Amino acid sequence: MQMLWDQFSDNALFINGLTLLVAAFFGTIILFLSKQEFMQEAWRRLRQNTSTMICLGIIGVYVAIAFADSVVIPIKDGVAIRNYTLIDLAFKNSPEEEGYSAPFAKQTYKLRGAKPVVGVHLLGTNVLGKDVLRETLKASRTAIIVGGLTCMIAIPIGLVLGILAGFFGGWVDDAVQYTYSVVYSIPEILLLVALLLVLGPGLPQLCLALGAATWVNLCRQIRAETIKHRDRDYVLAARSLGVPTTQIIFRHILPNVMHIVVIMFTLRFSSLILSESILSYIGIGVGVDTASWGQMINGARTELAREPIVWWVFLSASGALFVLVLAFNVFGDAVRDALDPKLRTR
Amino acid sequence: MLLYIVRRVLYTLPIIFGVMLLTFILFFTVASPENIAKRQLGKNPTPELVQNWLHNHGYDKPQLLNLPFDAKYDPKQPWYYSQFTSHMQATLLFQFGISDTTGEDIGTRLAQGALPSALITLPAFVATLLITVSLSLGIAFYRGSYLDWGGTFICIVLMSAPIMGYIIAGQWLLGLVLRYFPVFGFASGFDSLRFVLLPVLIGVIVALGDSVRFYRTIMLDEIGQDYTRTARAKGLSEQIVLFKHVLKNALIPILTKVVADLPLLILGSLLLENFFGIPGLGNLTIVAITELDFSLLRALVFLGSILYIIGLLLTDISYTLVDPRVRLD
Amino acid sequence: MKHATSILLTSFLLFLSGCSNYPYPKVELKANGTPKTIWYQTLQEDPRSLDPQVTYDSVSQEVLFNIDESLYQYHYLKRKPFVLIPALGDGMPVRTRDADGGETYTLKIKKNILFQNDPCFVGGRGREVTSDDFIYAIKRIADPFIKAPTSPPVYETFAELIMGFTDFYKIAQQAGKANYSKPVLGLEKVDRYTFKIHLKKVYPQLKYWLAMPFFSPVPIEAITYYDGQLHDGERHEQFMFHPVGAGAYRLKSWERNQRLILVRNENYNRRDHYPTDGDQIYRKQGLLKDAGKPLPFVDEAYFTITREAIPMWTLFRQGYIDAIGHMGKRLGTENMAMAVASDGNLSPEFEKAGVRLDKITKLSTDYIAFNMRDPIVGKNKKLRQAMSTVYNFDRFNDYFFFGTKVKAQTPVPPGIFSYDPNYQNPFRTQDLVKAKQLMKEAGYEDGIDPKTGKPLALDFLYIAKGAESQREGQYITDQFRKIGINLNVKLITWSEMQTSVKQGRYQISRYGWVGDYPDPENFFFVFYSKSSGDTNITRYANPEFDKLFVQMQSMEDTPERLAVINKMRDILNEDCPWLYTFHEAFYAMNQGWTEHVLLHPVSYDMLKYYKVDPILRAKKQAEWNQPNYIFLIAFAGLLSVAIVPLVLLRRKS
Repeated sequence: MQMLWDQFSDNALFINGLTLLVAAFFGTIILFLSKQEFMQEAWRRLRQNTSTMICLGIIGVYVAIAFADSVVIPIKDGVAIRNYTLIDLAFKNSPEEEGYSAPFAKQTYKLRGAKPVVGVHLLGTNVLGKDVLRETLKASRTAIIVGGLTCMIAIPIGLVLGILAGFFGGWVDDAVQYTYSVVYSIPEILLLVALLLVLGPGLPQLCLALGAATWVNLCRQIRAETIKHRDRDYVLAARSLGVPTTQIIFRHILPNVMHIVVIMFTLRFSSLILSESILSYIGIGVGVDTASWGQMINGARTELAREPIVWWVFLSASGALFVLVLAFNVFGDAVRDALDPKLRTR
Repeated sequence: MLLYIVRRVLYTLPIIFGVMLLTFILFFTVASPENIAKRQLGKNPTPELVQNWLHNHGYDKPQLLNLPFDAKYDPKQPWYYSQFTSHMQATLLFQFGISDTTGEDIGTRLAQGALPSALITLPAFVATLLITVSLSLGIAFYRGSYLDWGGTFICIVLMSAPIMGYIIAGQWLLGLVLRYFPVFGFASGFDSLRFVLLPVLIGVIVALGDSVRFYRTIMLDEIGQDYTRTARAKGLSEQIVLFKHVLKNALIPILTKVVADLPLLILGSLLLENFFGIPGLGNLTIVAITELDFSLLRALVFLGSILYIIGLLLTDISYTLVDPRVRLD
Repeated sequence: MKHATSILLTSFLLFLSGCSNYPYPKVELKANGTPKTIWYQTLQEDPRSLDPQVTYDSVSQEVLFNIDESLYQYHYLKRKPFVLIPALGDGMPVRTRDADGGETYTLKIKKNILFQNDPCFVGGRGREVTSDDFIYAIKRIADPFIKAPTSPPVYETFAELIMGFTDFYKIAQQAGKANYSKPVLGLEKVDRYTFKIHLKKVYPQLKYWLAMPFFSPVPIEAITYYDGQLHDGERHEQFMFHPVGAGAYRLKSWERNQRLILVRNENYNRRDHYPTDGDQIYRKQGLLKDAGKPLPFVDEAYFTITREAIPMWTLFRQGYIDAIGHMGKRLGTENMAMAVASDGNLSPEFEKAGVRLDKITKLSTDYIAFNMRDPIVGKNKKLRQAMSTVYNFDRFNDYFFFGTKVKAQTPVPPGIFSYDPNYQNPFRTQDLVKAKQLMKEAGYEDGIDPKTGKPLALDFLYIAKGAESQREGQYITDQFRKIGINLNVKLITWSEMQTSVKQGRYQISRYGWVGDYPDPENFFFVFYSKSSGDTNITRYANPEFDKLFVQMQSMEDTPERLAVINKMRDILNEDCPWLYTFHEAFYAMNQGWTEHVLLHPVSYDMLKYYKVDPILRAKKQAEWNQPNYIFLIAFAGLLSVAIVPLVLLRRKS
């Protein structure tokens, strides 16, 4: 398996294929959701709100950057053929400096004698003299993957198990409750540590570990919410009218718990990115070659203590992080308002 | 009611079993005991020495059960002779044995760490709960006003910063610049109060954004319900509607979240304790992780799990008290 | 509502009155009513073990050096060259050549030296130190069953030196328990205060070992008493957590993960005195002001355990610790940057506070190790040479260490015989063209592995210690990418790295060697084939080198020795098992109220020489830590302003 991965991991066709596959997956989900009546109605409401649309646009930009950093083009570099992503290509002519330099600075940050800055760096350069803007952009991909892939793992599990447990009760509920109680009874950070020690550091491993820790909470919330709705009059009425169970779940339960998924998704998305930074603080985050805001902020802890202060790396990373989280939260709130059947009538 | 509680208590037993099974599998696949032994013994140990160490720490038995397919199968011993069963037995009796790295009694170290941890986590827990619930009630009360969107925005801002940022900023501002609190250290007895204040404050602020925002959505959910309108139509004042009806009904999701945060109580203070030098269980966990002290880590996991299981028990019982519609059987 | 307001107000006032950032419990008073003089310092982590015979990590040794005194000690103010003077020893050792080519050390102990008081002794009073305690302690080195979290290479070194040492070890190993009543041929008791060590060959470095805690006396009572078992319902600690020695201090208390307190040893009787003589540079600095005064100066020492660099730094800026940087490697470079201006001097802010800067170069060498048993890097000399030639440490030094470290050209650090500051290692002078040529000769032209047609990929182990290591790893990756090599950096914890490296499960790894004594032998020992595994982690084996090493070992510092050493150096340059990176050098900072606090490059903290002025300290602490209430009042005001519109809003509704 490892050998097979090594064989294909630097094949441009394979990487692009994988990227397209993921894009197709999410495209299918969006297509499926857009066919749903409740989503169509929600979309109509969403479109009327300008700030929501701006946030959606911001998220779109981040996703586009992540996509641009996932598509690779093989270019002959001396003898070896190396893969360049679109972001890499955009910065191909940006020179490296001798260490830190502030945005638009003419000289590098003084360590042992300042050197002239060769290129123009919108967000300055980091300790290695590399462009911070490039790193910030490349880190968007990591953030989108950490958030997206983890949710891709956690949401289906949590949703399905939560609804099943809440709706059917009995032994199904017992089994689901048992499973998540057992998994969740292990404190999250320790579960993550143990899993990451088994799997080793790396982006997919991190997502897997985070997913394994995330689904439980979602499942618990969904289950509690399902129980609340299960005994409500309209469900009881539908049941007594002989409506098939699957139809009850899709018609009555799912729309009523969907807002929990959205809220959890938006809440989790930011905290997942933050978890990543805490894990790299303990020393078990993503690998060295993966740029991430968490790592940049972590490194900035030391930079902020410098004299004169090195602020641009921290501000770039936390700014990018903040904008994405904010966009997700505002958009999530709007989606929640649009989706929530109880608030619709207000 | 009583019958339900008894059933619920009995239900925790298999969960404890499951936790132990899962932790056992996780921890015994991470590092083989032979490697731990070799690292601990140093000095190019002989195979006998390693065997001796393994025996002393109980790592020489068959792993799961004493069955013929196990590499360490011992036909002279009964089928239950294994690392797993002895691990189960020992942890159930709270005999955690000795640490893999220092050889100290783990139980003693846990007991030493429990009080400092409790001094941080319990006040932080209570304060967080009170402050977040009242803040979210306030925001719900003024929904639609500048306080609502302003508060939500502040919550989002609070949520966006990593915990290290709060700790560093708090230590810098309140310790170094304003000089109200010690940034480091711990003392026993009443003197501990001044060491505890700043970590507790930071702990509350860290939890604030996430919780208030979540509770606000819950509250607004409830405000949109029919019963609230009915209550309002009866001529009840907004305050009474909020405090009596909305708060009562919002308690289920709030309780769920509170319990969900319980394990973090012990272990979420990991970085806090590390930064402030509080010799609690969180600090001990960092030690166990960096030193790869698996027996210590196992003990900590078990302790955290027990705590959570108790929390779960209490929520499920209070579910039925808060909302009589919910029945788990 | 009114109640709530009054409660809030009282608690606010209570809070104001209780405000203090003082991080320690109240200072105890001495019998005569004056407060104790206390030295405050931090430690990066708990000591792993305080058993003198097996303690090897720097944190533990920092504490242990003050508890266990050995026969000799380094002269505090004579460092060019290093000078040994007697501690427990009565005069320096007498060396006699034996007929069989070995030599005998005759060692005398001062009379009337008492161990510290401890419950393990009869009546709790420390008894006299005799030659038996030394012989017992040396036998412990050859006891395979002593619990050792770290593994010092002491036994490995002396197995081939002390007569009968290996026999003692092997018999103990077979019996499953060491029998201390069995004599060791090379350890001979002459009388109560004299003993001899018989060595199989001439070994001038023994005197340095005798200045380390490995050879400090251990009372057998302490070993039997502190066994970690239950006695009448009371658990005795393990000896590794409760040392009993004859040093200037004894362990008072040790709250794990929190603080460790040393207190003046009552039986020390101020037998040692501050030196009356020293190097020119120290005389000039006025360090001889207290010449001849009895030691130690401070009554107690608080070692606060701070795992994070930032709080440690804050404590220093608040004046709550007296010195910082004594655990130099552990002090984050970020803090250094703030205190030390780019020209290497103290920044004005700190100068104003009276802080003094102390810079030393440790006897250590940091390197990138190639596993010589690895089928790729171990078997391809040219590849190693190419990697060594391309790697640029100067920029690394600038970026991450502010240029403080000393670039390494050979394994031998400055301050040691044979070190030449002008020497240039041909494979450590950056030359991209040459490196590419070497890669071609190695069979990897432009870094392409002919077997796969892809760039050569190598695994590299690096210590994960926060965000810096990510950047450092990136830097190193970039260096080797210049010759087409793809480095897979694996960040792992220090203990994981130790395990992997010692078991040989690695390809390339960062590692370091900290010298035990100021002799080049100690720095070539790590390439000796017989120390493979534990200290020779690359498993380098070259018979020619081994021969020269054994020859060099028993030579005095003569031009002939230098010639042999240079030959060994050239062999290592050619074979390139290490990519030499740097010699550890760092800053330490001492507060203005401390006196004669000087780091020693070889020995650890010599607490007994340190002096503090508690009155000045208290004054400065009060001055620096005046709580700033204006902000609090302003904050309260701001909050009430924010609440006013709310009240109005509510009135309206």
